[in-house]
Amino acid sequence: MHVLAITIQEIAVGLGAARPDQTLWRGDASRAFENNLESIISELISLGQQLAGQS
Amino acid sequence: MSASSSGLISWGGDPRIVATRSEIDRASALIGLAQSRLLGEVQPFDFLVEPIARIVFATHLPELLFRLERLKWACGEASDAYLSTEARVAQRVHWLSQMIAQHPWLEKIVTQGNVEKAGVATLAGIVATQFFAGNVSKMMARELVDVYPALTGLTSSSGDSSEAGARALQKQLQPLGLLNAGQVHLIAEQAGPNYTPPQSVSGIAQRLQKVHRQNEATILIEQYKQGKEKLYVVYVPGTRDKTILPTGDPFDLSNGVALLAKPDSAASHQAVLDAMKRDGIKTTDNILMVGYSQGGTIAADIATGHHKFKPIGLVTFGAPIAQFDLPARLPVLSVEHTNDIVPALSGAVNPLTTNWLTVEREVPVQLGESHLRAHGISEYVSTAGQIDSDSTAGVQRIRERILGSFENYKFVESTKFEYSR
Repeated sequence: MHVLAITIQEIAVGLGAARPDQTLWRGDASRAFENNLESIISELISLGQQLAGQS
Repeated sequence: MSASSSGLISWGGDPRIVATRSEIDRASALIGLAQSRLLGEVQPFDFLVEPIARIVFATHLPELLFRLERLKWACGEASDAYLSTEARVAQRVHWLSQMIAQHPWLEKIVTQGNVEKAGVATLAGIVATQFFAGNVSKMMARELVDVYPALTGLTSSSGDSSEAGARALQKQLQPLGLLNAGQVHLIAEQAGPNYTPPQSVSGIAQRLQKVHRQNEATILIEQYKQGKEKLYVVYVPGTRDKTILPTGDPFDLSNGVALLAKPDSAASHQAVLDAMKRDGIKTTDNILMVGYSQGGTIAADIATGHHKFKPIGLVTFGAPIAQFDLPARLPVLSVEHTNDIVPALSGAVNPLTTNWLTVEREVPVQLGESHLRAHGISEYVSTAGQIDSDSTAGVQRIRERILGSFENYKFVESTKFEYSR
């Protein structure tokens, strides 16, 4: 069982919903926010994969 | 929000930059949720399941949480930077609430139905705002709008609407025969001046100033034509008589209150719709609505499109219009002075959207001089001149869209409609 890995992947997916809706928030700040968010999501996904591999 | 060297502050009108508080708050809330879920995975008993994996996870967690926290903080920063005035209003300073709490006699004055004093109390609240400059003055006015229903004890405050405040005032004064809209009567219809399409925002403001300064309550409608297509420009004056009692002028202060409470019922609103009908404007004709003060509120109400007209633009000076749900595609230029309390009577801040441009300026007021000067139409004409030379992206874009509406149109005629009630 890779319970933790699955949970982390789920959290990463949930975090993806925080991507700004371009019709409601766009501009440089929105882009910077999204880039940072993507980087954290990628890190979470990769951490989840790493943990799945270890279990 | 952009600030130009001329002292103009503007926001909106630039499709590259759009921000809504709800969207930023939504993003921030989802980050907070992710933080909680991540923390929930490292509770002491969790380590009984997959202990090695959890230890590895726990070593990564502080940095992840820190980065998420930083993003959440950035959301707050973005919100304040984009919508700083709103943020300040949203802080709910409640100056007036506190004032009423500390001086309960204020409440008694109003609920005793003493109309004269009620007017005075309202006016006192407005005058109180004059002690504060700039956005603080506006914030005070919004607070007044917000707490007025609570002050009268008649309606609960909606917290974000001018309507509740105005309705409370109207409900109180109407049974006494005050604030009755009455019927408007056309007293004269005559040819207006011969014009060419306006070439600048100050050109539009100057025409509006002339309309506002007529002896009688006057609405000017210009007609332009391009082939079979017609374009009408409707100029609506502002509040002309400042007494709280109804007068023969459909654009008096009592109508200003009626307008905020229920736009369609105000005599001034009836006059504008009547003039548009008499001028033969059809639902398929393009209309550009232009208004000052109370007239700006009427113009905005018609520009929402619920009267079945076809608005192609809206220009307002010193008018409370934030409460209107204007079509997203409609180019809107809303000019406000930061120390003019009238635009703040909407109880909200104009949104930051692609086609709604708000331009602000603080009117210099000398020591001892009334801040009401900031509401003067001549000051707005002067601000319009500055808007013409402003190069901010949003200002340029909306200015060009509004003035561009006249491209290839030829002047046909203009008509002045004069009303009384």
